[in-house]
Amino acid sequence: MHLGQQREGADIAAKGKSHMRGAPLAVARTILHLDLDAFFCAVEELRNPSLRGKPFAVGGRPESRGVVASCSYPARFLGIHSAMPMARALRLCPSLMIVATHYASYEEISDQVMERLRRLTPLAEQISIDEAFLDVTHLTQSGESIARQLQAMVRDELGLPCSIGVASNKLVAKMATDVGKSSAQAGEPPNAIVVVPPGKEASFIAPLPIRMLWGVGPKTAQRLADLGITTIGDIARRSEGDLGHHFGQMGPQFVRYARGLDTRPVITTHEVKSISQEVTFARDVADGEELRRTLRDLADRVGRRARKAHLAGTTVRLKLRWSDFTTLSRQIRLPHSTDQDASISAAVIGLFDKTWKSGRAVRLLGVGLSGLGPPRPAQLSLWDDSSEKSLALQEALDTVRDRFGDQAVRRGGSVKNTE
Amino acid sequence: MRVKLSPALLGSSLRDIIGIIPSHPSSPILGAVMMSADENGIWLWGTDLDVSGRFLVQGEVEVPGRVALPARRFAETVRSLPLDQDLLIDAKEERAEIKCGRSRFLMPVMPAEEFPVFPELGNPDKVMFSAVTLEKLVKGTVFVAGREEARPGLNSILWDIEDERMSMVATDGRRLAWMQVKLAEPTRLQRKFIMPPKALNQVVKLTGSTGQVTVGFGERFVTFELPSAVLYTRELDTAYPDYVGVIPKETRIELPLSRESLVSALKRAVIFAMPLTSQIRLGIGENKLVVHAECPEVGEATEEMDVTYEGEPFQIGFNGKYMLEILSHIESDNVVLKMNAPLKAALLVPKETEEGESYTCLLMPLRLNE
Repeated sequence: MHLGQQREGADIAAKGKSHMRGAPLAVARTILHLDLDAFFCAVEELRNPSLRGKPFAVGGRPESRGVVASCSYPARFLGIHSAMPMARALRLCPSLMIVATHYASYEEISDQVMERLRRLTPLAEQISIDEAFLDVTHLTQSGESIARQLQAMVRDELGLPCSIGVASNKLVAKMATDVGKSSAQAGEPPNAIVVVPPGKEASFIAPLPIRMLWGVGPKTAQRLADLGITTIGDIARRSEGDLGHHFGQMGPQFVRYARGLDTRPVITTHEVKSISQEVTFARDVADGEELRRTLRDLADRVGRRARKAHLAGTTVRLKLRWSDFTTLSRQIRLPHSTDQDASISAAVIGLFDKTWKSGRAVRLLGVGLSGLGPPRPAQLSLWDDSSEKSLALQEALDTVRDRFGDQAVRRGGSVKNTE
Repeated sequence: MRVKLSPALLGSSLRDIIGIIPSHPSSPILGAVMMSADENGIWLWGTDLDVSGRFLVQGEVEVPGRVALPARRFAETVRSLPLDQDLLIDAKEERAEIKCGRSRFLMPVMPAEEFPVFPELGNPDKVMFSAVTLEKLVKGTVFVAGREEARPGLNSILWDIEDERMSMVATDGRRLAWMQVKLAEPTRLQRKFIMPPKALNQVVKLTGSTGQVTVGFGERFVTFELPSAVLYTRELDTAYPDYVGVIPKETRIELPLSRESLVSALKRAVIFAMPLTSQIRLGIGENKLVVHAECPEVGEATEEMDVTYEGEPFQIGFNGKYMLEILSHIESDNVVLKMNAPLKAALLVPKETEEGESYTCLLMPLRLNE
């Protein structure tokens, strides 16, 4: 089996305490979004200062079908961007230097950044290796002045450039950062700080292209364009029902976002929402046995990570990319939650056999496990406090539902506040 | 120390003692077997600190003394020797020489003075038990004792003696077995002991089901005196979980079943059960019991049995292998399956028992996914 790049994924979903104090929606919040500029490249420049000012890319070699994981601002100026196949990047810029990824270093430095953010406020939510949200509502200084201090601290203490967006919610703060980044001087890290004052959220984002809105991917963008919608302002003018008609549940959400409304709190505890593992083959593979073997291998890794995290999942997902880059995913819900390799692998191979036609070449395979929760043992046990309690609750709920119907009792979290 | 013995006899005693010596000793000396030779004969000593044993080996003592040797290597060496030659062990300060026919081995000796001292029992209460009775109690309970280190209370046996009544209890939290017998003769004892199952297993293995075992109940130890061995077990310093409290006093549903038919139905169904949970689903309807198992890749099995039942239809899941294991320890031809609710403890008990005896096996269900 020829493995090109391997990728692990762990989607993070919010759980636990939300940090909205007092009357959360009445008081305007101050949220910062911090994004480290070309983070991997910035770390590589720290490792090797001679890279400064040069066009270079971090990622896999073109021979092994590597892709650009990150590229320096001089390289961006030449039209190179992340996720671009390295071979294409080299065609655009034959003098492009390719630097191998040093993920451990990035993680280590990312941790140092997070540690400094948490020094400022415990209400810091890391959303990726190079991005974080901070809720600084409780601090006396203005958002802008905190942003300046933060930017200086990250630059002076760690030697890293970063951009910061300041707004009254996460959505607009992130978009402020994106706007700041896109206004960078050619070939230079943006080092931007963009502040959106309370009340100006909608007007700030209205002229922006729809692709910049959270949750709008290429397919949604195309469908919105078909409706004559090209800017976020265009969405904001539609009614929730109108977009709901076209986009289901997400429609009204788009409208609220487009109006700059976002009440999601900064979350400081996390749980993993899905565990996935994928591989891009160094050359396309059309051999069924090799593909199945790869899936088993990926399933084992997913299982291992699930067990390590003390999680079991109920849904197994297959991701498959054909040689023409079209990608599909198929999923199946299992009768029991599992963290067992064999079950994950059996499920994903079942999906694969239904999807794959003999001889068809595959470029990428991925296996995911979602619907994660504690590996709730099916086997009940004596003297097991938690299970005794959940048992008693389950039984009490069942009894009430048997008598008064399914809607008679629901768990607190699933009840919508209608007041 | 110099002794002459038969490799066959030594080999068999070593095999017994290896059952006590830990396979991953926490210190090298705990991985040793000690051999002592004096006017009391030749004895092998081994311990894991909870359970200790000494075994008498026939042989000639030429020079008294004692020696500690790495148990597993020593046993392996002796086991592979020809049985028709005498074995000579000559232990000096640093090393022991083992000779047998044309084979000769040198082994470094371990410091015998570091070998753990066996407990002094003083004057324990001594009671004779028939090996059959002990075996019955041990075999009926020990199989459900837990092996997880994490829940120490659940990997031990509770031995409860109250004059002429004697019982043993074992549980791993998922299953519980409790057997009580009436002794032929009163013991005039009132003792409760929590002990690792190892010693009891060893005793049963050594006695088989014949003869008598003299049991000494000391302050913190119990000894088992057998014709050519003495086993010691320490009382464990843990509290035993409240086993009486978890056994349902009353059960709503009681199904009398033929043990043999239930066993054969379960055996077939389990072939189709999910390998990890061995989940089988019992569906109880009017005068019918349906045993069902399924596994996505394997298929499914359905077995129907006639029962006497007229209540509400009811479904409950169990680990089929656990159930079979319990059934294999019940001697009675008919059993009663007692249940209250799908997520509550169920009981499997023999329908007929000998006078003064009782045997209760508790089985926690498996949660069935809707």
